[in-house]
Amino acid sequence: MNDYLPMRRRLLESGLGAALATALPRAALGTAPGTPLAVGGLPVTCNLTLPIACTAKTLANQRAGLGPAPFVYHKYSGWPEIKESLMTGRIQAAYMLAPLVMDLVNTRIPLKIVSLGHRSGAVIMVRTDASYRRFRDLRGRAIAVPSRFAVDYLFLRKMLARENMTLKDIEIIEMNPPDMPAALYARAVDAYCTGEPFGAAAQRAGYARPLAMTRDEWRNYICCVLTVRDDVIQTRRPLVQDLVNHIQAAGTWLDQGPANRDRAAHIAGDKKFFNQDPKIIKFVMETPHDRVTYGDLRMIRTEFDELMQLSLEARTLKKPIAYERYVDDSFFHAVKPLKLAL
Amino acid sequence: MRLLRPLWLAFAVAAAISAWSAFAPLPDESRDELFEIPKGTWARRMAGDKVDILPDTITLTVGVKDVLLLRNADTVPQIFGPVLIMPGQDFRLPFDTVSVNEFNCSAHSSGSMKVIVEPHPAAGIARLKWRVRRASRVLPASFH
Repeated sequence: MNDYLPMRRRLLESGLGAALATALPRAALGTAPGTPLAVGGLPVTCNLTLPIACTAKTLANQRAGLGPAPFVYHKYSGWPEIKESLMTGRIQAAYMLAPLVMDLVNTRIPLKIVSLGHRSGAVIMVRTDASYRRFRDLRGRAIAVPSRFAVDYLFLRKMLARENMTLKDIEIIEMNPPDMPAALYARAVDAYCTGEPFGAAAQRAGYARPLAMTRDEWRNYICCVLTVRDDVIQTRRPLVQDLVNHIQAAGTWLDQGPANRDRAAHIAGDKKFFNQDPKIIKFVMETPHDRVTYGDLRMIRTEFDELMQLSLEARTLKKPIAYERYVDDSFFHAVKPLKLAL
Repeated sequence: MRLLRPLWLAFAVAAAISAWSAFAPLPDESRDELFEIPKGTWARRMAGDKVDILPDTITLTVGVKDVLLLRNADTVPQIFGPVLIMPGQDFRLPFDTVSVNEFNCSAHSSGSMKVIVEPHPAAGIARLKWRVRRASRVLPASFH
């Protein structure tokens, strides 16, 4: 009985989701030709290529006298809202957590990952005055993670495995990322593992330091990926290709040098995008410069397979899923290099 | 007739105040709208308190109070959006565009807070309503 209720709820959710995702009229879903593609994103540095791509396209269209950009940024504050909006068609594309897309496709939600958005960008933070020097020093300590479904949790599991430790060696506390700096400051936790800018904010304030970064420990770390509804892929393929071209070009542009990263901090800090203090974004961009990277946005099957395997081991994914079911890498293979003028 | 004279006087004064409220120009320089996180907020939240003393929406008006002054009087750092405000620190967040903004806020148990930026009220009924709303906010609770 205990197993039955969650299963029934899951079936209902997936059934409703699939029904909504396929049954709503095309115009209501924004897939009608001529309407701009709504692309959702969160105000986190892992999503930075999205505002850069949207700004570049808008400026290019203005210069060419072509009217407004055919894809526009929609700001969200959490993964659940993005997920719901994508499922119901309020937005047609979004940056999503890769394991979440695998899980949604497993429950018959018609979505595909079409591009990476970044690499790296997660950190394990400890207090500046703490004696911990290596991850194994956290044995017996309390570590906060955003959720057991987050890729940060997979990062933590990877670190445990590397040190021959298990989950029994630490205490995991689930906590919203904005609460983590205060919890560390108040010594309510000994460390926290999350995506930027919540590590950088505490580091910049002077009371926390990174103990481990994905840039050092898991070079090909990916979490946020550009995801598009299947019906949009079928009906507006050139537009999706244009979006992927711009995301890929934004990644290249961001890693071309500090001047571009500085410019990106100001673009993304704007109210219509992240609405953040550009100094925080700049700190993430510079401390060090490869804290989050954007230049290598290749879609590599083995990397997705590894992420799926880790999610299965963490039991955040219930059953394996074929790469072709949740990834459409044809857009990546057909990418047309662009030179962004920002 | 003599009895009616104070009523007429009161009516005339009220009409004059209303006319002034509806048509007098608003101050055009920016001012601060203070949002202070009281001491002990985080500890209360961690103890399971909903901390409903804090407003979940702040309304600003373009060109009048278009700077949000965040003050952290708590004993731990608080996150507002991606900005981390240390204990005892102030942070000013200017707004110059009519908009509805949703921010992460670690002082709220819901984890978020809304900042609504309204347009500058035009002379007439809109400005009168704006002044009445502002006045009602500074009156003691017993007047509401």
